[in-house]
Amino acid sequence: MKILGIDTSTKFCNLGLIEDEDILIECTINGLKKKHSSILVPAIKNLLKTIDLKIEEINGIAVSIGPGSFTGLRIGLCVAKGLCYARSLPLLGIPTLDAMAFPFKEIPYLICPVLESKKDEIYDVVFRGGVSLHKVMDYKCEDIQSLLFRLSPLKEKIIFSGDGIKKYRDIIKEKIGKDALFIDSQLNLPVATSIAFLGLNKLKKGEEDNISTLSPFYLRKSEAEIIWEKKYK
Amino acid sequence: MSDLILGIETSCDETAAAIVEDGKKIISNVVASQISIHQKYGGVVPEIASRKHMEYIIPVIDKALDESGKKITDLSAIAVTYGPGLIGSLLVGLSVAKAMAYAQNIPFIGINHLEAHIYANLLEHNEIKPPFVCLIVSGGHTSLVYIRHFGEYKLLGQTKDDAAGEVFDKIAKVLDLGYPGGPITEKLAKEGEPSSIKFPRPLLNDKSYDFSFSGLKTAVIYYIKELKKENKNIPVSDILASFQQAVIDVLVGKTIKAALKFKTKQIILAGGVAANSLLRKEIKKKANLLNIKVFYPSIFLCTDNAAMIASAGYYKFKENKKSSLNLDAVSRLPLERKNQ
Ligand SMILES: [Zn+2]
Repeated sequence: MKILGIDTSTKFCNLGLIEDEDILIECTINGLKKKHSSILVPAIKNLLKTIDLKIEEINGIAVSIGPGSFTGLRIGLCVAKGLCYARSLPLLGIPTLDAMAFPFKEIPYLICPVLESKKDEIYDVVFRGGVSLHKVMDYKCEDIQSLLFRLSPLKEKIIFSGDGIKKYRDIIKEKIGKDALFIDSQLNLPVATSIAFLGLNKLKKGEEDNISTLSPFYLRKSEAEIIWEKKYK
Repeated sequence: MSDLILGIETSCDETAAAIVEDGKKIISNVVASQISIHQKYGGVVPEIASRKHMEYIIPVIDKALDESGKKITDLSAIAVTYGPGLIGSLLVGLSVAKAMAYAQNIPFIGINHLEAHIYANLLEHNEIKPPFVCLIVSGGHTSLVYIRHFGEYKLLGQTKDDAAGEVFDKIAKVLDLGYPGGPITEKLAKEGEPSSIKFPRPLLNDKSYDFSFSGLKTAVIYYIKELKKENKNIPVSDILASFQQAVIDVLVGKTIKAALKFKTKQIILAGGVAANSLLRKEIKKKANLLNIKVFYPSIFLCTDNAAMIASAGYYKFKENKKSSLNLDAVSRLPLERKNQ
C-alpha cells in the first residue's frame, strides 16, 4: 500500500511517500518565509510526477496534526482533507511528536521530542523505546523547567530531539547530566516519512480519521480565549 | 454543455460553498456563520475564525455538492477567495480548493473577494453592462469603484478609517444592542426621527471619493456619553435614525457624484450594507431624477457567500484565466491588481 505523508508543522514543508516497508521518495523544502501555502500542492504534484505516479494510485494520506505552528498545521491538514475528499481516500492524522520519536523506537531509552512553541514554552512528550514506542508522559505545552523537573529524578538515559532543544541544551545538560543525549535538531525535523509509516499502521488497524471532524492537535488555546478566560472565569 | 463551478469562501467569519451553473444559476449555496462564536469577544477573533473554518470546511463543501445533486466529477473548475481577508481564514479555503482541484485535475481559480461582491449582482441582473460605478460597502470595506470592462477596475476612493458596516457594529455595541449592528440599527431606526440629531457627514463635500467614518462614530458615542453623564433618557431610535441617515447621506452623495463624473447610467451596490433598505431607497430616489439605474443583489447575496465566488470564477474560467497552484493568500489584496 502506498501512503503519502505530509508535514508542515515546522518551518519545513515536508513530504514522504512509502510503499509498505519501503520509502519511495522524500522531499524537504525549507519554507522559512511561511510559504507553505504556495509550496505544498505544487510539491506534491512534482513529487508524484518524479516517480510517475498518479494521485489516484495512492492508498491513503497521512498528515501531521500537531502540535506545531498553527498556520502550518492548518495548511497541511486542509490540503490532506482536500485530497482525501476529492479522491475518497482514507485520512490518517498523526501527532507530530510521535513521528519525531518514531526513528528511535527500538532504542531502550527514554525519548523526548521537543518542539518550539511561543513565549518560552515548548511542546513535549516522553516515550520509552524498546520493541515499540510506549508513552510514559503525556503531551504538554510548558516551559523547559517544568519538563526537566519531571525528568531529572528518573536517572535514565534520555534522547532529546527537535528544534525545541536548541535554546535549552545547556540547561538540559546541567539538570540531566550525562544521561542526556542530543539528536541534531535539523535532521530530526523532516518527519513526513515517519508520518507515512505511522499512518500505514493506523490504516492497517482500520483507524482512519473522519475527514470532516479531524482538527489539529493545537495543545494551546488561542490568545483571545486565554485572555477571555482570565477575565471572566 | 453547461459549466459547473464550485465556489469556496472563507475570508472572514463565514465558511461558504456553492455550486453555480454557467455563472448565473445557483444550484446550491451553503453558508455556515460563526457570528454566535465571536459574539462574546465583540468582534471576529482571527485565530478562532481559522479554527472554526477548519471544522466547517469539508461539511460545508459536502453539503453544497449534496444539495446540488451533482458529483465532484461533474465540476468544471473550483474557484476560491484568495484575498482580501484574514490570512489564516483565507488559507483554509485556499488550501482545500487547491488540493481538490489538483486531485480532480480541473482548473483552480483564485478570486478577489471584492470583485466577487460585484459579480453577486450578475447572478440576478442579466442586463448589467459596463461601464458602471459600484459602491462596495460592508463590515470590512467601503470602496467606490469604476468598472469600464469586467476585470478592469479603477478604485475611485475608499474609507480612510472604519468601514461603514464596522461603525454600525460599534454604535450597536455602545448601546448594548448586540452584534452584528446593521440589521438591529435598521429596525430600531424606523421608529426614530432621522433629522432629530445633527451628526456630521464626514467628507461629504470633499472633492475626493474617499470616506471617513471614525469622526461620525466618535460624535455619536460622545452624544450618548453626555446624556448618560447627565442621567438623561437615551432616545435610542432617534440616535440610530439620525446616525444611519448621516452614513447613508455620505454613501449616496459620493456614489451619485461618481456616476455623474464618469457619465454612467448605472450604479451597482454590493456588500453587506447594500442590504440596508434605506440606502437602497435613497440612492434610487436620487438616481431616478438623473435617469440613472440602480442595481443591488437580493439580501442573501449581499452578505458573504460562495455563489458570488463561483460566478466570478465562471467568467475567469471562460476567459481561460486559471491560477497557478502556488497562489498564496493575500490579506490586503487590492481590486485593481491583475488577478492571477
Ligand atoms: Zn464581503
